[in-house]
Amino acid sequence: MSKNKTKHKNISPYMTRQGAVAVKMRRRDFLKLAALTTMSIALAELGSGKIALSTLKPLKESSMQGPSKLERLQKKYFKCGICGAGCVLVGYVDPDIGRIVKIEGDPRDYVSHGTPCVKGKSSHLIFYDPERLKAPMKRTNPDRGFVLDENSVVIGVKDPKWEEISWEQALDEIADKVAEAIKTEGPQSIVFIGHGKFTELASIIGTPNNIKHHSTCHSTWEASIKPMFGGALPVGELSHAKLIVSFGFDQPGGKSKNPFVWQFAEAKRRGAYIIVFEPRLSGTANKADEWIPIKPGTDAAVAMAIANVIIEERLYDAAFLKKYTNAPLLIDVSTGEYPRDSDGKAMLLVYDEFAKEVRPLSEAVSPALFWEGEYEGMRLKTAFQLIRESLKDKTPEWAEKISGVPAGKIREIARLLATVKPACIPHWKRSGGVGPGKRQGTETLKVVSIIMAMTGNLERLGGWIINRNAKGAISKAVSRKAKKSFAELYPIPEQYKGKTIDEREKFPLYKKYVNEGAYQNIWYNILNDKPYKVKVIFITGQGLQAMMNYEIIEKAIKHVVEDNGGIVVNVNIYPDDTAALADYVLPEKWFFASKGIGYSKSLDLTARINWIDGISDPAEKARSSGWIQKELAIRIGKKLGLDEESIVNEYLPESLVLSSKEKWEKQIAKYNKKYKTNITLEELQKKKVISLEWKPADLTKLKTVSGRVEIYPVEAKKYGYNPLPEWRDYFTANPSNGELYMVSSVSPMNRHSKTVNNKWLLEFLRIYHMDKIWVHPSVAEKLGLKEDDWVMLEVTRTYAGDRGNVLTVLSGYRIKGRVHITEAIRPDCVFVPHGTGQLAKWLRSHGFGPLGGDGAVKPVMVDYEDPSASSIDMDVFVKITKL
Amino acid sequence: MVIDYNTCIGCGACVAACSEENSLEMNATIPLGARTNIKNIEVGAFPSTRWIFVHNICRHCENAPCVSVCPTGASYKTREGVVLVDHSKCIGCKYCIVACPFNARYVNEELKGPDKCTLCYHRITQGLEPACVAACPTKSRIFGDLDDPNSEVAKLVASGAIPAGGEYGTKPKVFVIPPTRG
Repeated sequence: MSKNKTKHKNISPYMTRQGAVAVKMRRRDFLKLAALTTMSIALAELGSGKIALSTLKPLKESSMQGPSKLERLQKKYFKCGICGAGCVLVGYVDPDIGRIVKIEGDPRDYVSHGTPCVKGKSSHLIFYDPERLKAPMKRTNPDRGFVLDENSVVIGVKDPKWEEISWEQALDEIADKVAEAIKTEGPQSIVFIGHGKFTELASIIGTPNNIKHHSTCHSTWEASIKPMFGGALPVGELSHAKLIVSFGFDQPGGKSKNPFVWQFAEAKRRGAYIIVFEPRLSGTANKADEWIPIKPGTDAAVAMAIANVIIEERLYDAAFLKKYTNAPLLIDVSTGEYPRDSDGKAMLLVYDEFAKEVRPLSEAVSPALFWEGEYEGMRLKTAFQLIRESLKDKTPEWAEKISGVPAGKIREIARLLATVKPACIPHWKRSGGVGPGKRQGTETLKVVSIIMAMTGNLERLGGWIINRNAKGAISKAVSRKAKKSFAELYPIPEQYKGKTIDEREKFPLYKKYVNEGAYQNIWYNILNDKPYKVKVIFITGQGLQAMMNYEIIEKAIKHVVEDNGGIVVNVNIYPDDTAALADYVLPEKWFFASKGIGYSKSLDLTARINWIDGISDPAEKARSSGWIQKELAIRIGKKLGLDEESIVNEYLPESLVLSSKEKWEKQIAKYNKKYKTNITLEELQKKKVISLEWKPADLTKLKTVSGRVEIYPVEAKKYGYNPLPEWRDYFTANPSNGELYMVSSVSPMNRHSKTVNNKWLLEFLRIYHMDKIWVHPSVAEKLGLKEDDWVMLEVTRTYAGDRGNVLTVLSGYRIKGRVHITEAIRPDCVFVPHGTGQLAKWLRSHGFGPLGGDGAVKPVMVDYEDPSASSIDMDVFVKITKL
Repeated sequence: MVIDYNTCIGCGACVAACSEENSLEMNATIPLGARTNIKNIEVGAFPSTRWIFVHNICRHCENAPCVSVCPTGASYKTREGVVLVDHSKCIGCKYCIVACPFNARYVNEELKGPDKCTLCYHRITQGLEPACVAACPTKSRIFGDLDDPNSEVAKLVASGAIPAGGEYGTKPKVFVIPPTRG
């Protein structure tokens, strides 16, 4: 209906939003007409008997009580800190109270496209939430942990009976414990869990245990895709796509990072055809032309069959493959890598169909995509030949048996993907077909990348974008790494060197491309002192809801405190359930309070920077993470025998010692250098938002061995992994004895612990029934359930876990919640909302949704053979019981 | 106004924006969802299920029953067709609330009388879009002049957007693009 109205003459992502342009036009017309005032009104009345809206003028007799505050509001600029998209927020400040009362976006910001999402839009409610943590707190109740009922159902968290303490006391006592731990056990006994907020302090202390959440969120993308693109991580651009095929990608109607939302809507308006594989009707599937309720854990099989059809029916874009990928390059079959010359250097060879011989890539006229033969005593095959062979038996009929998706449908989608351009298979969700929540995620993404390359949908709008943000330029302008660490005084004991508490060293490919920690097994290893004792845990910027197996978390925390004599410190904005498990809770300033230069962390297509004005934090005693780290570092250093001057000068990283102005200048200089611009700080402060045009990357100059897109990632082979897609039977299983698959996701209105206490978002979450456990009517009938009945849910087994080299620890805890009976889910699945389930009864979000959420019951799962170090916590069967 | 049910993801940004903007405008609390709100209606059996996010908002009807039942003229229509309430004339009889077939009015305790969507009259008279329209991340609410055949809304109506609740014969000025798929 409203499709295809915008003319896209160039590929600039700016101002493509038809609404914005159209509104401008209307306003101009309005002004013209308004100038005619009474005359035009009279004419309009005579003409049609109606008055055009364009002749409106303000009516003061409307229902106002005194002058409106709206006109006196002052604009301030911020960067949203809710998610990594990092939209520009325009906050309207009421001068009488000095508070933000309204939030809008800035149309110059590509990420938000001028409209923040509902979380960003209402984020000032969190900033000014009276329930926020106001001062440092120390627990007085030694008894900690979860409150369970007689069925081992998690129903709350024990009240820590906090007492307010001064920053002096908090910092001194924490520093005491840290210094003691460094002296007695070594720096490795300090563990940082979270979003990398305390990277500086971890680096100063010299612990290798600075653990981020990647392995529960996006490690599959990084370990599968990054080796193909030389470390770059392409992301789908949806707005120009004519075809979108999603394997559990649930951004537009699920997690809703802003760019995906508006891009998806734009694609729909332009008539894109959308197909979503998802066991439950996700927010995105709801908007699709086709929702295909695939059997959980089988997306990889369908993707492989799609690739099979594209290859066997010769539907691939041969020119693209030959020009930009390593498809025609010859691989030494005995090593699985490029053949090497006598000096051991990789040779980029192809079989030239014109010369009928093997030649260096640079000299070939017409490289063959398929060839195998002998060359200088080596058995060689083209990379594409190897890919074809690996997918040879992965026919649509084979995939139908596994996934339940009809073979004809798979063929149809393969042909669509090969013929409709641009087409996009987006990847951004933790528990869908492509995420690390499922063991198949690594393989799904390998195949999806191959399909995107085979169909020529790389580095074009509507496909996958490789060259896309300013993060690299800005984020490393100021070093966060300590100049020298305390480990020089108190080194890590020899037997523990190179060992982390999360065992990331056991995942070499992941370590090379991500190295941010394997999140799922930290608590299990802490509990078992594996490989060493942990004395201090800092949990920063991360809530329980993002973790798994509450039973193990509880035991591990008790072990650290009661057996190891250690402490747990939580840096937080709320006194929530995570805080209630800690010994000390430190109040952190929230993003509105910071000032400086912002950029999009992960989703900008362009090199945007923006100025952040900042505003004072209503939690007066809250401090920035930089301040907390610096104060702690100085105190810890002193207790280790150093003087303050040498700590500041010799140890602390730039980010903690440079003045704000110095940091901003360095960031601007780095940006200018990288993008060959001449922006000054004053200019940025005045303009607030500066963006560059997006320019495509040269796909033959990537940081891969061949410089090209390596759809056969030789890097993976170097680290001992199979570069080819591979289906394994344990990616999925069949339920028995009334078991159900557990599926989980979020909705557009929540992002874990940060937003769950927002009173508006709590209301909106109900629109999506995110306060309930969902089952199909057939399940409800079998169990005698009515809407809103209480059910209990427990995990019975995992289907990827019962093998060698896999650690599986099921949670002994259960959750309960009210049931939502819906046709929007497979009859063999149960849906548990993610990110809600606050256990602290003193917060308003307590009681919303099944307490503990999916995190409480999910297992600890580590597959040491998985290159992505995935958490695999969604490969589970559950049982539900009526209460 | 036209609401595109094809692109709405039911996030609630319009509802939040409405409450925020108009609370400031009125110097009184406009409760969340009072002037406009969204309901999720599930249709179809598995696997053809879909949710439709149904918006409720004042239709600013051409034949507005709330205006015709008002004994004092407090409920009135501006020359441009926007239905407003003049609180200085309102005696609180609530006829208008009962008369509205769309439940678009409610009693606001602070304003001591009926309250409803003003189509952000204070914004549109300055050439701005209503707050809910400006806030929609998916551009699912579109505002404009229905009488201008070149406006986006008029074109959408011409191409099939249907009046929201047209069956009551009140000639609503809010239109809906029904969801299509497949």
